[in-house]
Amino acid sequence: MTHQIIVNSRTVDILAVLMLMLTIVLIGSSRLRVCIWAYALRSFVLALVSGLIAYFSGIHHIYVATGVSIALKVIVIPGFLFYIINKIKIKEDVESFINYTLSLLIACGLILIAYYSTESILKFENVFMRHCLPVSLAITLLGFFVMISRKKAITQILGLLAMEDGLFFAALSTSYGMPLVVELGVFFDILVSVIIMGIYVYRIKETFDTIDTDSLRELRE
Amino acid sequence: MDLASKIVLPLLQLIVIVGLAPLVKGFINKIEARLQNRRGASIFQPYYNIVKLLRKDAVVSETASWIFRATPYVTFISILIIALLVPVLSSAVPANFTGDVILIIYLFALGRFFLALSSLDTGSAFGGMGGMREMMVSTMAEPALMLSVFTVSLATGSTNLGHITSTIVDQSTILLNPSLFLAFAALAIVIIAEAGRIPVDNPFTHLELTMIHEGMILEFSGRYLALIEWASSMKILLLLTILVNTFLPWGIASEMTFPAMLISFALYVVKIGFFAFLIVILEMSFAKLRIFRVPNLLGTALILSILAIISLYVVG
Amino acid sequence: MLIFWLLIIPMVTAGICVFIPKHSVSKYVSIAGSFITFVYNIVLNCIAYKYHTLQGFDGFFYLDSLSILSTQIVSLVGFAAALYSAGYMEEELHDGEFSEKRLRWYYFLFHMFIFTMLSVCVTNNLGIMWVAIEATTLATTFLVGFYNKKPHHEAAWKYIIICTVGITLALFGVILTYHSAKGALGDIGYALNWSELLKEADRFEPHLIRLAFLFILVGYGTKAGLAPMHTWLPDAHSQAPSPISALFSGVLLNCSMYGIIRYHILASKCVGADYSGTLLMIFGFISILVSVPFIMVQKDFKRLLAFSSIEHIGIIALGFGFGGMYGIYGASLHAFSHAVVKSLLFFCAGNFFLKYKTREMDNIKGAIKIIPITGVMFLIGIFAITGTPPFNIFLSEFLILADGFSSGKPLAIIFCSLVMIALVLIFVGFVYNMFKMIFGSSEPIPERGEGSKFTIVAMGFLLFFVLVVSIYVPPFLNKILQDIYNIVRNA
Repeated sequence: MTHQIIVNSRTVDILAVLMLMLTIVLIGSSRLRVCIWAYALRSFVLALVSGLIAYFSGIHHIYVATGVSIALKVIVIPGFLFYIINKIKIKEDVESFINYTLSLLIACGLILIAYYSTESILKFENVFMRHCLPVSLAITLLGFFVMISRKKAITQILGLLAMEDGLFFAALSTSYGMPLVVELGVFFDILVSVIIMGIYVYRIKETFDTIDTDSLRELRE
Repeated sequence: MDLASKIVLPLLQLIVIVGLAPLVKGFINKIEARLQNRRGASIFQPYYNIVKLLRKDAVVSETASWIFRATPYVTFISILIIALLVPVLSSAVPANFTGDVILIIYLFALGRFFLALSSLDTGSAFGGMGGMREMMVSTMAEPALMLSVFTVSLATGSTNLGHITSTIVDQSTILLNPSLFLAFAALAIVIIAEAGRIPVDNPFTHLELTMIHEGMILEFSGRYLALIEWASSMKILLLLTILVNTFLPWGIASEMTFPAMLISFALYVVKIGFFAFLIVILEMSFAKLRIFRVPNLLGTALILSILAIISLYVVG
Repeated sequence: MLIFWLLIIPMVTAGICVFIPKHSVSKYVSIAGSFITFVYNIVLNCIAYKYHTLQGFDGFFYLDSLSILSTQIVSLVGFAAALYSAGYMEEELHDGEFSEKRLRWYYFLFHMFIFTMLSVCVTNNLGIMWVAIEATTLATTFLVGFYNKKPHHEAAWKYIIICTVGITLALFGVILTYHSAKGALGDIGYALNWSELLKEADRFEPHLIRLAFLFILVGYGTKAGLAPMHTWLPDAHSQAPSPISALFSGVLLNCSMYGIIRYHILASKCVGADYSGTLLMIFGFISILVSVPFIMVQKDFKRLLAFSSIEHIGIIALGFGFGGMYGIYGASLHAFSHAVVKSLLFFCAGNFFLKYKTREMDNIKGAIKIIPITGVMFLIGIFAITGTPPFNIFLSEFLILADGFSSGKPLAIIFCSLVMIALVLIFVGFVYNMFKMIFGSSEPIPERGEGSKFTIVAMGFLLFFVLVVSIYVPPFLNKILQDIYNIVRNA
């Protein structure tokens, strides 16, 4: 492996770990706005990573994905989430079913699970960008954990976006992204689903007067 | 040359650390004052404080035992030994033969142990509270410190700080490892905790609700207080030195020639100054955490260091 | 190109419906649009049937017998639902449940829903299939929460969150499949085309394909209503308007199973049919078990029908899991039968709601005297759905269970025995709960007479298919079902 390839690969790896740390901020923070900023920053780092991968590998259609990613995930979606928060005027705390320390420990456990379960796959892969697969799996698992352990509807949306980010990164690092048509379709789906979910958060606030999903208990057996 | 390096280098290192430490503390206070739009005390103020304290009488409580009188000396001397174990001006560490990074961590712990005991010794309530809090902080900070340093050791193949430094100077690409990036993040949080700065502890406060370190040293006076204050400022300098010379070691002298040492010293001062400035920025940006939230922050540091070492082990 | 037009027609209908302000016009446009879709689909399927498979757009579209069956189910029930909507929504509009402006969006989303479901069944690209399945979730969320009240919002929120999480997990499966395909086939543009992947499937890495199938099963299984990922289903199916509930239960669950089956075929070729078959059996069995107690204690008849859908999807999964000739034949026939019968039941339920204004079964009595046609069709539907001979569900359930018993695997035999007990319990639950609705007398007596002609025509249309398939499986249907067995087993 030449020196240049090692440096390139390590740079991508460091950015990957930066994304992981921003996802840990999502779990550890107690303020809603900080969570959304962490999401925007992570999407920016993800766009940076995909731009770097496009540059190093010379596959040009990844640039398109990078551009769409920046427009959508760094600008439109965080902007939309901030707009919704301003409109519904809630107490901007992150409420959770599990207390802080336990959720931090579970997050650590999930990341360790991600590293150990990809250990056997990593043995057979090449040396390039080795941290990316465990990090992407970890971000997906952390997003899933955020979705099931948080009460507020907005944090559930953020958890879902973390899962999608993790999967996009997994696709990017293992097979240089999927065919462009599929990637654009996925982006479009994410955008529309966030918009629909945002509209529903607003409607739930109007009818239930809270966005605490624990109070959605009307339909029981 | 061998004799020179055996005598001159340790002496130089001691002089630099012991002499520069109060200056670093004064520099931090001055920059902070300037950024808060005050004039602030002179950067040599800590020196004047130490001289003033050495001239005063020491008042000791009647109920205190020998631990109270021994603590300042133990703290000061343990920090002095650490000063000989850390690469400051050259990557050849003077006390190479006696110990490595593990000894450094335990020497820090020794000083802290005696300080906490002495805070209980006088029977004052503030002291006991400060000691208890300090022990709580160190319970979480010490493993994080060890794990992040071990990550660096695993990556470079040695626990001897001198070897680590010279290895990193030779092959810089080791530093580009993401596990080391995680270790750096964990180490940064731990250094804030060990140095007793905001957001973990407020070094300027005298309110009982908010003090940790100040609470422990409340009963000391005179030459005892001088030694403890000096030791705590040397602790900050040593922690920064470990951080700087492990993660940014370029410019450190590998031979004992005079020009190399001069360049090394200059770069050292610049790097320490830069990190001291970062500490000030950090202090100004955050409020002090409430005491029951401090374990959350340190828990995050612990998790980052665990991840650093596991990811280094799994991915390589 | 032909296939492309199939997708254009519902999109155009949706677009036109959004601009028509008056319901009296738009309902006819909607019926016409779905009728054209239905007829065009029949024509297309005839062509595909003649040529065995049909590809289009440079391999982007792909129709084989599995697609023929699925698209036919979509367009048939879609047409019936459009007919029914015309009558049902007219009544609801008169009752003032929503404004006419909102109704425009109903028709728009209705036809976009049909469009996305058709896309799932005709596309060759596994990635686009994923996009289409996610698009069905997005198109229908507003339909679930159509009446703007508390329980509807809760149901819609649960629906979109749980289904999107599930489908995201399925995305991981798609990525793993793409990765192993790229590893085996090299870097080519059509590495996600199902027909190409099927040819080379034995060269993929088994470990990755196993993991991929597990994620796909859990992910698309969430959308299909397999337990234990079914928790959104009773809420969403009961709070949506009745024609939409019918489309959900009969058709959408079937489209999600379609996605699972495509991966099942790939996985069977790569690692052998045992792995994916056993997983399908287990999930199917758990679904059937889970639905039994809930059916017996239900108070709301739409929720009861929703749990019955979970049970029937479990039976379909069980059939595909068993994997023998009868199992796959029976499961495919069951997909069709369940779609028509369940839609019929939901339409009858809608008529009950229109007449009695309540969804509680205790408050509805004596339907056979008040709304006789609905009552009779409901009675037939109850017997059909619980698997009473000689109806079509009995035929398909019998085939599936026969396959299970004859397969010789101990797990299959245990499952089959327990399923038979479950079916009996479900029959008891249905009859106990629903007979009171049809017979008996109610105080006060609502006025006699059916609601709207459209609803009757729609239900009669479905009843025709229920009865026809019960008595006689037409030869072309027979051939299609056998062909499906060949496709699934060719692996």
